[in-house]
Amino acid sequence: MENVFNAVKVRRKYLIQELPIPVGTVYLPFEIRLPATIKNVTGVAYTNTADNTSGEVTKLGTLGFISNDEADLFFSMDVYDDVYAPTDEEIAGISSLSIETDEPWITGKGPGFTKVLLSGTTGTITGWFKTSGTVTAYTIKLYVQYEEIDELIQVQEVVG
Amino acid sequence: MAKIIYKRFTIAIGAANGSYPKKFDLDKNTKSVTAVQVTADKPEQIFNRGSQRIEISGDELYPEDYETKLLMSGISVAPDARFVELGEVAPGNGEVKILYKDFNGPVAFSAYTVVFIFKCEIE
Repeated sequence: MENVFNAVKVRRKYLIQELPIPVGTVYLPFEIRLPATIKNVTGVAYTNTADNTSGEVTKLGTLGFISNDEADLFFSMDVYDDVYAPTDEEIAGISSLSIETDEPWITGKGPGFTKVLLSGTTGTITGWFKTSGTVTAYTIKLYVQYEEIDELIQVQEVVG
Repeated sequence: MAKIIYKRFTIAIGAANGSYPKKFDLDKNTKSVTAVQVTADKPEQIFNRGSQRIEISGDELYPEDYETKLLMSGISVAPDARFVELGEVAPGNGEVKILYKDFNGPVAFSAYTVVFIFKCEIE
């Protein structure tokens, strides 16, 4: 027997917004406009261009995200000049033969999306970046992962 | 059960701060594209300097300036988990358009080859 039913195909998409952080910035508000076709916001990520040649991981500041609906302040995260999680040995400057202390393209600890779930009806996401003191200018790149309802499709299911 | 194949496309990056638009074709019998991975002969180059736009049959999967470091994976990750899931992307006309950009990053430029691997289900 063959059943045919309708299903909605959902597509995953990404928005990119750059936040230039000039020297001396303390507080920077921003706004991300979401497309009208959005269903849910499912993840956020960031990368930055801050100089990290000193080898020490420093906190650049804190990002906060606010929606226009009841979710309100739905996510906040600390921003570091290194976007992957450093190990304790790395922070202490101890060299190790362990793969855990190697570069992120070897360990797999590169930047990734943090899962959030926010209804797309919010329309815009407002937010802020509160710095821990800006000595040199850099740019933060924000990534917003969202789901978009694509199309109504017919699914065929063979039973028995 | 559908058969899985891996399509490998390469782009040679010969100069710093350039845009490299390329078109590739999937196999005619491709049913869907389910995952992608990006790697290179010099991973530190694509991690620090690379971004790309990926489109399959007019369907934009990743927008322009989406950094390559977000699609990379390390050797400490299990081989099966190294791919970024795409869902089931219909191949349409089978045309894959990639716009790879090299930008000034914290690492000095040295010519490299970037490799895109698409996991495909075939009929």
